[in-house]
Amino acid sequence: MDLLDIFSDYTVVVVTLGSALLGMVSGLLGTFSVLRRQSLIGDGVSHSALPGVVAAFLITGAKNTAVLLTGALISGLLALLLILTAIKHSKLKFDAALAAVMSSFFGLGTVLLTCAQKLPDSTQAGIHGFIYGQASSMLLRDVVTISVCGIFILAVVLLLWKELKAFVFDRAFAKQLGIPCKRINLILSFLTVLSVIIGIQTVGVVLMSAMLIAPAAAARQWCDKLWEMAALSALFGGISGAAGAVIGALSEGMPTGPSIVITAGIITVLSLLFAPRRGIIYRMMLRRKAGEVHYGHGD
Amino acid sequence: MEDFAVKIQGLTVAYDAKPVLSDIDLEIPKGRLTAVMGPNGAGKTTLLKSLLGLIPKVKGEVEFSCVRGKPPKIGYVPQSESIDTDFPVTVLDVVLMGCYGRLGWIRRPSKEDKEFSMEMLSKMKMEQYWDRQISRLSGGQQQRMFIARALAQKADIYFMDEPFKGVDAATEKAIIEILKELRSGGKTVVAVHHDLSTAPEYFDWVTFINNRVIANGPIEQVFVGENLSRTYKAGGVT
Amino acid sequence: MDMAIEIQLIAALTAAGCAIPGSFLLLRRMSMVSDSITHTILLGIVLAFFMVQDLSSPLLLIGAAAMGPVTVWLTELLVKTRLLSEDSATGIVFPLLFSIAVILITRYAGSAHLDTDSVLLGELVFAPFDRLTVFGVDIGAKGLYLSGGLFLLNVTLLLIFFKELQITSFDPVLAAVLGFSPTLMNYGLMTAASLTAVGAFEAVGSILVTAFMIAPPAAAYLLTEDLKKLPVTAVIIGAASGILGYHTAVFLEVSIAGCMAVWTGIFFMAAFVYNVIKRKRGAAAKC
Repeated sequence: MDLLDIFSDYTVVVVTLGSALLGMVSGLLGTFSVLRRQSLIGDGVSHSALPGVVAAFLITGAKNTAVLLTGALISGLLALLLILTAIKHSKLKFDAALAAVMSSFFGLGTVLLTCAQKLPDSTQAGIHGFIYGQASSMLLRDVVTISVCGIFILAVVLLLWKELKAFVFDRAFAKQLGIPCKRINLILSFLTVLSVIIGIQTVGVVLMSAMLIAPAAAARQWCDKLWEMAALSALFGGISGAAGAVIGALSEGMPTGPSIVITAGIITVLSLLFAPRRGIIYRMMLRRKAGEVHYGHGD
Repeated sequence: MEDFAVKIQGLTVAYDAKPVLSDIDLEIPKGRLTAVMGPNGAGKTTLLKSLLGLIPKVKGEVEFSCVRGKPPKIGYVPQSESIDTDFPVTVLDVVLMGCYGRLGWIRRPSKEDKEFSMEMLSKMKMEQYWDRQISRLSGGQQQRMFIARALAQKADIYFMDEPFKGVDAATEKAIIEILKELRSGGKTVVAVHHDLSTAPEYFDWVTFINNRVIANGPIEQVFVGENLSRTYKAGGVT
Repeated sequence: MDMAIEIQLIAALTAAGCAIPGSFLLLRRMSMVSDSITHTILLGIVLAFFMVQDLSSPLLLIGAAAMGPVTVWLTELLVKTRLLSEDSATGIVFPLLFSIAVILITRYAGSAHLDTDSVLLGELVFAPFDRLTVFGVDIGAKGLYLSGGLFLLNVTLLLIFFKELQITSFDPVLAAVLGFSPTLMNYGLMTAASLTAVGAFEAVGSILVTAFMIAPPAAAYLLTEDLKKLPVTAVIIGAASGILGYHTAVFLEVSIAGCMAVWTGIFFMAAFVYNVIKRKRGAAAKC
């Protein structure tokens, strides 16, 4: 298949579109997670979603995306709530609570999975797709679901932009301004969980954290303003999603999820190296120039 | 002519293109209580960390003068905020760590080490808190504990990062007592200090830093308006 | 030995072995690093496989164990640029390495049946069937010796290097000033954690290793303020999770490793609740 062929292939267009949208959404939400030093929340939530997915299947017997996603959402939110409660009421730190909760939730998920596997109509493909992502089996219906979620998330973010901005940068100050921090925290958590859940479909549990972090980390190197960073992060995420999907379609045996992540990784590394002011190469050149000025005399 | 404890020549430390410390030429005198002062971001803590060997330098030489023919032992008192107080250690555990340098790898602290640590705690009037987990201490008590730890190191030079920050009056007195005792014992103290009003009282030597050395010398001579304004001038550090 | 007892022993020893390095990962704010290395193990296995083309070679395990320090080193490299936070770097490095592993497997090792699922998910039920024979004598399940050996190794290292672990975890600046290299200790800890994780994945799969490395120490962290008691408590909770997990799994006919992980979660929550009640009572008593 060459490039022209693939864009006339319906499945490929669907997958590319869906992956791009997912990338954009995780890029957008990732901005907030990264700035709040809660980058790994994507990893935690994605692991915690497993019991919800399987439970939804066990309870409803249905395997359609919306049902499973709802289960994942509930499970992810529950886990996040437990984590936040644990930190608030004990000396436990965020990373420890995250690791403890997400891994035991995942354990619960595997238990439920072995329950499900005893049922006549279940398949092993469930957990496989969950761990590695199943972008290539995306349907138009799924893209619609993702778009709806994406628009919802974008709307909430735009609506609450001022509050989110204050909350992320200086929580104490935001409180003084009268912003309901607890509520904003919950809303942000909810949006993050939602974007993680829909992201898992493309890249799977293990790789999800990269989709939340890499585009945002890359964008940070270029922008100092929050809205610029969020927009660029969404762009980087979208590009990674689309590029990964296209690579997956173009060559046999290139799995989509990892291709997306590697694209995102390349964008990040290039940003770290070449961004003006913060970029490593840039700083090295500056240092050399500074060295000439400083050490020029005498040496 | 003062004996020096530390001689610094041409020290430059940078994280990025802009150096935090430029061409520092400095002699820190032996047996004196030296205050390192300057505005925020002037490089005071960087200087300390650099002398402790924790940050690589771009260029420059640092020389420690020997004590009894050997390289001097270096004591360190951190800012309490840089320490995780939820860590499961007691006050005695922390002070005992000061002895670890003498033990080297693998060897365990002995009963004598424990008794010596308790002695250092009594010196800082903290012996009754010996088995308390450290988050249960006030800021001043934590500071006294860290000084006791530094004393347990039996060091020749003591580097302290803002030892008087946020402490109560009783702790302040206790710390001054100890500093004076150290000086009479011929030890050297180098402390990053933030409070201009108390510096002339507590210290006898001052180094003003603002990316470069602005002034360095006995406090009666150097702690004057001109040096102060040059160090702390508005917008001095970008 | 009775199969059921063998499985329980392996379960208990595996979980207990993980709890020891896990205690210090937790204290050093490196809990998520355990998750990170359990995923990058796959790349180590794949690279080693490409070198020897033999699925049963011990080089695979060495490659896997080596990925722990390599992952940490790459993460630190990114952090040193001062452009990324520690957690961001972690969350980028391991997915990248995992992606490379999956791509390599899909493209080049498809015919070799490198079963990624068994690496990631594992299953204790089969452990008793993998026997260790010495001079033709069956001396027990391989898993027993692996988990037992790693447990003993961790206990030994803990006893020898306790004060070094303590000081480099609590105040790395002082440790450096006193001549204990925090970097050396860090990589030593990572190597031990890596070896333990690799040993554990045979039994419980690598994804669940985090549950045994972090949840019991997290519970212990909430139950004791004494560093000497923390790993011990974590080991006991880990072992208990192993045994209880086994019995629950057998009763419900589900995954043993999964049940073990759920039990670590139960202990964790129980410890949390106990801790909250104790604090409230302590605060009330002061009034």
